[in-house]
Amino acid sequence: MTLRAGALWQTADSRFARLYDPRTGYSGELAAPFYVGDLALALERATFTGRSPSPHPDFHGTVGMLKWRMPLTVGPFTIAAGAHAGAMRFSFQDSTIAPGLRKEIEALFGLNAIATLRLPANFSAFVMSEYTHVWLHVPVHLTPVTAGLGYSVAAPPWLRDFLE
Amino acid sequence: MTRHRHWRTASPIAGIVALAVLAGPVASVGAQTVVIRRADIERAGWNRVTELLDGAVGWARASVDGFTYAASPDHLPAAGESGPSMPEWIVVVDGQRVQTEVFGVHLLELLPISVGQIDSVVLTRGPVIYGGAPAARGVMSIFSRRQRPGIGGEITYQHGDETGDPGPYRYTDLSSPNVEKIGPFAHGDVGWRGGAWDVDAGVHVASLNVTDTLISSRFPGTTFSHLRQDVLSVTPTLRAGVDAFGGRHEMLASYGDQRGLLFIPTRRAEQSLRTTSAYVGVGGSSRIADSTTLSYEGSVTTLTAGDLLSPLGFTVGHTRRHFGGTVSAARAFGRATLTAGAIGDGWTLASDAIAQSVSSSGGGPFVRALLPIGSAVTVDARATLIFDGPRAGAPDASIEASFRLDSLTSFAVRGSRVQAHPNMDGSWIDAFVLDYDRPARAPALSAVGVTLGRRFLSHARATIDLRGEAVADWTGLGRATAPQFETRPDSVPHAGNLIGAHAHIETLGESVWQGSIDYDRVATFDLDSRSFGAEIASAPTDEFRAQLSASPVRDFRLSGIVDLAGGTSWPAFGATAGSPAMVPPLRRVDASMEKWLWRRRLRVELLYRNLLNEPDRSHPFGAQWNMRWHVSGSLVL
Repeated sequence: MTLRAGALWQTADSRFARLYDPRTGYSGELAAPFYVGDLALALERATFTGRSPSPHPDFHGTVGMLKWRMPLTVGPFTIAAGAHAGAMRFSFQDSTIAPGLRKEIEALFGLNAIATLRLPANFSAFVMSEYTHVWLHVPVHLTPVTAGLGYSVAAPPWLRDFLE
Repeated sequence: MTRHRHWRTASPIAGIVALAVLAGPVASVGAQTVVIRRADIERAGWNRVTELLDGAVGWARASVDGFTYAASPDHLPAAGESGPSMPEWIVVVDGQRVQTEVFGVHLLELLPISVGQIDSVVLTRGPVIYGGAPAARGVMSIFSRRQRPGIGGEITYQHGDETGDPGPYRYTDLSSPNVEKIGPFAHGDVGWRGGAWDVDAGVHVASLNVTDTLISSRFPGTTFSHLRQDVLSVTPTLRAGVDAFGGRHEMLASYGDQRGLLFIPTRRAEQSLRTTSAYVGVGGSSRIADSTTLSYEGSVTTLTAGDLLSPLGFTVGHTRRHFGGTVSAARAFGRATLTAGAIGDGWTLASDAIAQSVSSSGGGPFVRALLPIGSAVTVDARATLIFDGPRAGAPDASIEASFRLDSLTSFAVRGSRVQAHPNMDGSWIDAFVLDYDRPARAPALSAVGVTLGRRFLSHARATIDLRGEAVADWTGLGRATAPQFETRPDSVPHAGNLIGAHAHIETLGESVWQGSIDYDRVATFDLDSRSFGAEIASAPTDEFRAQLSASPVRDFRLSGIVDLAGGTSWPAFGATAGSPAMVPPLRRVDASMEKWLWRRRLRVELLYRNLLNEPDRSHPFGAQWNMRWHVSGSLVL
């Protein structure tokens, strides 16, 4: 299995981009071979700041995803593409709205692709891109790009036993 | 069935009865059946008993809040279009009749069984005679899984959310109301089985927000903000069984508590209620001689509807108690079996509005003859004579002849006539509490039908069922009326005929691909009035359901389900006379992914409902659901 972590930059659809500016965020994932292809559990987080001249309150966007990808390996390079599903949590930094409404969770679907370069000592470098549709009443489309390092390790016996 | 780890197996009684139903039309006297198996429950991701009605194709489910449902198995007018004293379908858990109906809706979350304990459900459309009990509308019969030897248990937790939140657009002109969280739905039980004894204790919990704007906007001013925003039910259960005296004997007990808004269909408005249901029942059978078996079933239910503090005027508070039971003896004469017995039910109503409690009762003898003729024909005849309160004895009867045409093909023809017995079935209580007069005559339903079943392609089976039903003295709320909170509409007696067809195809056995297709259609003719036809239009004319699942590798399953239903029209819920309220057609696609982990001790499921994000709604005053997603985990101990 492979652990990956990296920095995340993202762009949003033009309607949303007029309202909010996503800052640089971070992401991590745990990927392992599945029966067919690879399966990964991923987490991303970034802060979205309201844009001038009349900025709306900022919010933190946290995305949890289950990803499936089909890999193709050529020498030290591996590219993989697939689909993902999950949820995005919006945490509003706004004390004027009811506490129960300051956090919303919304479903998302999307496509993703990753390119990795195998490095010595089980390390790897990767660049990953996604296209995500967040199923709000007015949908939001995000296109994050993540770059970082990965580390591969044999799954411990207890984890293999759990996954079987 | 599934390949999943069964820590329990179906009880012998449940297995025998379920197999009898599954084997063909022999047990489906006077009716058409839908069978929901454990695999269906898992791939659909149902974690509340109420959700099982999603699989009851042709039962015309309707719900305002998505939590509590009404259903019309025969497509007679839905609750609220029918009067409050009309007979309802009955619910049976492991052979014990359990009272679930209040004001035309069924509180299935208060049943003494959770989804995790269910092996299968057989939904039978009426009119039928079930275990000696006349059931004019139909039967939902639930069979439990039996615990494995030793200690075992299961815990399941599911949470979900509806899409369509405003998100950051809440600050803009594109803002929209926040939509529902769904759940949690959870159930757990732990039990022990040793020797002849077994015992199991459990609890099931369900919660659902009811803040959909189609609900909240019906309340004047700021009333809704002062009401409980969710419906919550908690039901502890206890089950004990013993194999003794040549048979099995079971005791079921539960105390269900449901709080929140409850839509009263006849009132066309909600009440803020705390409803509790205390149930204790026993049932079983003993072989008392080589060819004679004695069976019994009895229960006591106390159902209380009390006020939750709210600004709504509270007018429906009451306590209804039911006690009832059956006893019968079956004796084999060669290959034939003759059963004779008696049934009795009683009701007591206590309410703040009346000085003294009011009681009713009814019952009488019943007989059943199961007569094989040759090797290919079986005749099943049943009859009851019910003395309903002060009324003279009224007979109900059903007969079915089933033919095994060859090793793959069966054919059955049947007829039945059952009338409502208000003193016995307690249907007068809703009318009494809601201040309606009791109808002068109880409704009577007569049905004929044929079923052709054939197995093909070695692991598939197709069934086609045609039926006709005549109804007399059905009370509808016959005029299009107005707004919520208006005074009650008039009751109008109706008569008419319905014809219907149901086609069912399913895969059998275990294979990588499994699935089923159901299609149900109903039409009317010779109705006594146009208003009766308008009321019947509250049930969809067509329903279609197809499910397909694939297990390409061990411990992993992908499933897809398509549900289609025609739109409905509700004259009693229209804003003005002549303009009924409309419910759009249903076009729903669900998908789920299941993975078993930890050597089949843990099952996780990701489930999407209404992937097309089409209007998903079953009642004109009810919530409309967007696409929603659920995550659940089940841990088998």
